[in-house]
Amino acid sequence: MMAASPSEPVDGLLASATVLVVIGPGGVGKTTLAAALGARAVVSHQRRVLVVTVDPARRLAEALGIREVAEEPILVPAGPGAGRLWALMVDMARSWDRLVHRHAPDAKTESSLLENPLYRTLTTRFVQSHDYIALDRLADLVDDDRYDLVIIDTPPSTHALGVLDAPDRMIDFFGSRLSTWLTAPYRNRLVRASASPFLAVAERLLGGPFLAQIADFFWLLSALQPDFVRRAKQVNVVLNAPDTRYVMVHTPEPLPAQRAIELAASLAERGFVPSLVLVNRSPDPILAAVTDAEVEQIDDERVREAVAAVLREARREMPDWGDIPIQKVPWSNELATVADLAGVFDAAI
Amino acid sequence: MNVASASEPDRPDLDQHSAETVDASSMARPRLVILSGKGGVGRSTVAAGLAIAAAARGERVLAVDVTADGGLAAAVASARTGPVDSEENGFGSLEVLALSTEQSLSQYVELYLKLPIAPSRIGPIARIFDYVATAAPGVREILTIGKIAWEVREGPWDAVIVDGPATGHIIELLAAADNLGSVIGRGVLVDQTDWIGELLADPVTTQVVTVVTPEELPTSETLGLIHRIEHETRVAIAGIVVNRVPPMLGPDGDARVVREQAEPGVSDGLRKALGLAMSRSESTETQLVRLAETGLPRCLVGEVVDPVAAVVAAGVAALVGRS
Repeated sequence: MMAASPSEPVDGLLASATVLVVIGPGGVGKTTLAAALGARAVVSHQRRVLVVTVDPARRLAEALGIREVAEEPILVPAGPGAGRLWALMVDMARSWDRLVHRHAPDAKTESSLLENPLYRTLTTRFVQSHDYIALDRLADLVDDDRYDLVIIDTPPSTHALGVLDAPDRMIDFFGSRLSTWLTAPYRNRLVRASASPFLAVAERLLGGPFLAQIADFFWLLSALQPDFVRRAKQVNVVLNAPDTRYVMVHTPEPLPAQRAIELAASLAERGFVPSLVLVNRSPDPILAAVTDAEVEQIDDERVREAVAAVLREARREMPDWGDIPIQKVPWSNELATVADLAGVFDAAI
Repeated sequence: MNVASASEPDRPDLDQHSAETVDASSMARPRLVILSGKGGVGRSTVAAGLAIAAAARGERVLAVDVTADGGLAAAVASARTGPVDSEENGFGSLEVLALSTEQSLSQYVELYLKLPIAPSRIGPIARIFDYVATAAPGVREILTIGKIAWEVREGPWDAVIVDGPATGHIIELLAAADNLGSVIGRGVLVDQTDWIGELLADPVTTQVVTVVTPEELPTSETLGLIHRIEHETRVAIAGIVVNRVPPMLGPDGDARVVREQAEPGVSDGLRKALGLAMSRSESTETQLVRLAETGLPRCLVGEVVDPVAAVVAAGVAALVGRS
């Protein structure tokens, strides 16, 4: 295997971090770059790396050249050397089953919850449940001796940084009036009375039987609350640890670049600053050297227009990331092996 | 511009600058137009363009942003400048409504339930519904589509243009009225679904416009979406807007590019740019052919500085009977 040529600042980060959280807007190749970071950490830094994704498109599996990503980490063939690469695709349904199994106070609560007719829909669609599950697994994995670097590919979230808010939201939810109201039928008369306006509207809208199922579900779930809250706090500790670093990914197109800036702003509100920005699918720098005069000399009008359009894109202005190191990553559609992935950062632009 | 006929899956007219026009009067003129497309293809831009084109004909237009991310309002605002938009010039009216679940719910409660609920109490109740609606399939969608359908039926609008959710969620929105009953049983929500379902299924009233860019992934997603709309909903499709079509090389493009590359003194950078222009033109053509195979009317919008104006200029509105 070819040794990858050094590429600061990617290599600096890969040599020192213990957790990398890869964030960015949807459709920018986050999953592939998470895999590429993992591959490089293994090939160039001999680290023992786990790459985690909850991406339902299973693109990580393709990028890593393995057919299936299972619930348990899979060891990816990565050539000689002391480094090891594992990949894990978090299966939402099975992760929730696990979570319920682990946190349920007794077998009866566990089986009632698993058999609740709404359990499957509610857990896979519950507000930010993807985010929560991803982080819950993260808390497990950073303590696992097999790995010394965990790279987490954050799910495409409706709320841009929902993944970082998920633990607090979980804690909030259980402590909220909302949780109390939803489970009001199981609570004392005082609670039932205070919830009655809500229940009256809800029942007229949704019908009684459905509401009863919802109440049943959240009542059972509340039995899991103490453990949930404890875990959520652990996850927050991991997210705030000094060796947990954030990597922002976007592409040169105006919209993803703009979204990335917005993401970084809300990241900053939480006290996090990306350690690295990866601009994926960046144009070949050789294009920047082409002058307008050269383009003018193309006789064929349609060819000239098409070339001008290509160059307009190549000359797009990048967001100003200030002091944050930027690495431009060229487009590549031949990422067949771990070595290919590790080499993604070689062509420093 | 180019609106291809629905009958033959022909090679697309690669010259999007030709002045071929479509007879808008031959197209249905639905009052409710719902736009769908993968995130980032310019759905809000096309919605804004359609809304402005309809208002410019003197129609009273309601533009609805389902995602409530401000994209539609921004696109409308960016394009509405100058005296053209005044009523003296025959411009109708254009209002933008951003629909979050909380708003849909409080309006829904007002419209249908006639419950004596103080507005201050709607807030916490709506937040609870945010959770429940996320969890229960179809509830969020029925609140949204219910509000939209009510505006179409009861509102003063000639046109309601909906900047819909991203591809993955549009089916849930369109099918919510037909599917909800099986999930949650009886309740006011379910009782409303019959007329909403009929309103959506009537092609004279409601049509979907899909928005796509001529790239492989968005095209594949759009083809899948069209198949699902045709098979899982009763809603009609007006056509496809192909947005941000790059300049194309046309017939013998390859040969002409190769000739330019062979010119003396061509720099490495220009040679590379020529190669990229060629492969881009080829891949665009491939995607346009795939879209043509749907047999649906298509409208091509070029890459330009002012995207909303381009949508208006490209005659996208002709797809929904407005020219």
